[in-house]
Amino acid sequence: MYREAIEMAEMKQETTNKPEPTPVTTEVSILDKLKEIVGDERVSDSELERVVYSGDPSSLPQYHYRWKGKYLADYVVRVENVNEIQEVLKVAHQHKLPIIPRGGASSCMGSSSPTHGGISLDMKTMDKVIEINKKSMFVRVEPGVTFERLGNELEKEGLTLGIYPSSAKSAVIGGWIACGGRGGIGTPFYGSLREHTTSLSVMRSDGKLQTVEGNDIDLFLQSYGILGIIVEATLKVHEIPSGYKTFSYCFHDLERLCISMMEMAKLEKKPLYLNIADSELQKYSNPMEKGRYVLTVTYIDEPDFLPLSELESITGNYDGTYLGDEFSEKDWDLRYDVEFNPKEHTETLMFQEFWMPIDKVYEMLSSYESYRESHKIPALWFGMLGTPEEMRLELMAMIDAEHYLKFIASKGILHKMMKKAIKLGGGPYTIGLQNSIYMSRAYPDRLSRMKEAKAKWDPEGVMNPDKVTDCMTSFRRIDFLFLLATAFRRLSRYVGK
Amino acid sequence: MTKMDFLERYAQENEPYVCASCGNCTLVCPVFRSLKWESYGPRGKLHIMKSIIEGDGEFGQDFANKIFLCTLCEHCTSVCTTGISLDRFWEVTRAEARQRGLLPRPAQFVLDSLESRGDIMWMGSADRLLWMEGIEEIVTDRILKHADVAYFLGCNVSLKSQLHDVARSMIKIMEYAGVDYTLLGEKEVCCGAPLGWAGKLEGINEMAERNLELIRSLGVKTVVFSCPSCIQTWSEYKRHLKEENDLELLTASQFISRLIREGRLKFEEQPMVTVTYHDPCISARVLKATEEPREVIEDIPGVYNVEMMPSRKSTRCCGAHGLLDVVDPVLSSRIAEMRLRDATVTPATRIITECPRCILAFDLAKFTTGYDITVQDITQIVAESLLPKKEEDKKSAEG
Repeated sequence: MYREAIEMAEMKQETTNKPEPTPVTTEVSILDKLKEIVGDERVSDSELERVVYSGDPSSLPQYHYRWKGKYLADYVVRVENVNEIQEVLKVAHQHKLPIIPRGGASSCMGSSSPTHGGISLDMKTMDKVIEINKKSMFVRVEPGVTFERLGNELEKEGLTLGIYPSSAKSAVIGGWIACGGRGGIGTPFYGSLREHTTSLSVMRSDGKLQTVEGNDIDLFLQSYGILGIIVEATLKVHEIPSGYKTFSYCFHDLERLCISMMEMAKLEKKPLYLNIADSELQKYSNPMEKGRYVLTVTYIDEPDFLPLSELESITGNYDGTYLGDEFSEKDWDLRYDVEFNPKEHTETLMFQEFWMPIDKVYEMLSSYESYRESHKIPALWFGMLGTPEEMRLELMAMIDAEHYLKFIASKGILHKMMKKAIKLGGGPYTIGLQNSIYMSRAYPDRLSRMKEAKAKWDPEGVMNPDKVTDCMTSFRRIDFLFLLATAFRRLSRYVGK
Repeated sequence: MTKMDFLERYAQENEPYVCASCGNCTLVCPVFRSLKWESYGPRGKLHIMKSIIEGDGEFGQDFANKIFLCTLCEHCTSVCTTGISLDRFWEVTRAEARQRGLLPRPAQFVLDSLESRGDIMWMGSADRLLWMEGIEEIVTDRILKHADVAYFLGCNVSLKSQLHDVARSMIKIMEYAGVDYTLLGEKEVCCGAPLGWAGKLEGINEMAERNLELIRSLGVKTVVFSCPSCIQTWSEYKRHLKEENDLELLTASQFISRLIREGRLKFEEQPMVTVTYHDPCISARVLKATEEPREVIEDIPGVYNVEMMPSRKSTRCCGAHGLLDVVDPVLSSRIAEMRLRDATVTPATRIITECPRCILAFDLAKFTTGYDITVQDITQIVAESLLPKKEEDKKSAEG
């Protein structure tokens, strides 16, 4: 029934291509109902609020997401407890409104952007640290707690979660769970968020509260809120290490950089953090005086965890040069900012995130380097080791969105890179709205499991539509459009000459 | 596309596009922490501004009001991953609001007061002498006297009776140290900062110049301030102050610290006072004056500083900066209460700071929360801890 409503809305879109306002008479009553649940203070239908709660760091130009349909939420509700969520869900069902759960909105790819209006559910206000159990080494939290606050609370007990995303300054724990938490700072050493999550409390779209444990937890990591709303999580914690030690090396050769990275990843002593970047990206945060690529690796500063001789041997074999303590420490300090820094110098930082087996990283990067040359795109890249076997690779292009053709062509190149990544056994890192088209090709098994789960958990399709299991457009359509765009881009160079 | 005259004039039109939407600014913003709606946080406002520029939204009264619900505390600027000078952006956006006739009424009142009275409170030049009550004999001869050092009180310290003791304490310190100082007295006018906060950027230089002209004519080399915002304004709008005027601008603690290093201030032992130093936003994040006040406190025997969290450049705003205290006094007070709580979880019995707005904000928050804690300017604790002159002479003779 709900799907019919979506289809009708889509038909309307085709004729007007403008977001359809909800009829005034219904709007008043929905607003009143929501106010009754959470009070006047925590619900808004103001356009300003809806604009803000419908975006994320994708930083795409407005014209780019017109196709999203009704891309503004109808209402924004800040919930503080499970009962409120339950009541809001009832209203959503009653009026066939989608629910879009939203955390820190520091992820990207439109993960918490509406496609058919609906209610943006701000979870940041559910931010309690419910229990810290030092004896059994776990913490129970609400989804809106920030990494900073969780870290501070755990630190008082001499504990740490040990893992956090590079957007930890603004991200919240529930958001990272929904996005998967596959690769972050600390994950190569402590394991991914999946390995830390022992239990989740989830509010189903029908308003029933359910505890999720064991293998079912897999469904909710990378679920982007399409199955239900995570209202509580139990996570493993660790003792705080005594300190950290970082080493940065520069390389002149891409292949040697990648081999060094792989060998370090495979050492018995695992790093907390390992990143690679080209000098183009590096110049916006911690510029190198020599070398074309940088590798920064951080360990727990204790003899049992520091592979000093191994590092010396690897970097010696592959011509890596130590960049000094000052550079290394600065690179560690900049771990939250390094991916964002280039944005300061461009209107649109076009990027795509890949999850790659580490032995395929070289092939990906050398291919992107070729595109940099052949298509004259202002490319830059960054990679962060997620597990000892996989890396989150971020390929970027600094584009002025006003140059439409260049913008689309750069997107086209990133699309080609995604096809290559899938061929090589990788896929998109963040799925969200924009990368759902790749699900069938990159993660077919996961897609079919998620479709089954969606039918079970959210049969009416209320929860965050058009993410993961559904898609507003087809892969073939996008593939063809990008093929045309890149061809035009190449052609325009010759015509220009 | 919507044309933004001021954004273009002050080269700020690209800033909404430079924003990476990372959200770092949101969580540190005192207004967002209080109101919890994204449209009040820096990221949200930039997002809205982008949609207005692109013609998808209107610069209406609703948005203008949100732009004024900001303390201009620079916390967002300090954590911005893409290095946007957000404080500057908010001031220029306020100018856009003023140009469109969307200035909130309290901000308009401040503007009118500045233009007609030269201060922010619709008082007058004669009222700038009220703080001298009881010490006229000492200070009357100092007014507009040629001297190396000028003490610039600013509107709050001159005109608000709760803060008169701050000025009197500074006089006591300077007299004690034998400083050759001057005062502008009733000729002092506002530094110009509130003009920027009320969206009239073009009037700031003129206002600052009225003071600077006098200061130059008195042969002054160093200006000491009780308010960090005055220094910020003169530094930013008179960029070549040092080169053109050979003037040094110091916060009270920077000046006092220098006097201590020169051996011109001596303290007597205090009976175990535990204080916590609250870094005013502008002192910490703009002037980077975070160590001098701590050094001064450390130099007073018997006074111990315990840090409140967060502090130094991560300090939280008191809520009274950037005209928020006049535009929305309730919100301003709520923010002050949040900061006061940071102090009350320490064992300190006094908050020391060096900004008149912070003192006023905490005094109000004490009232609304019922917390009992003394709030003082750094000059006050220094002045009351000075070793009485006779004893100092005796000690010198013995030494």
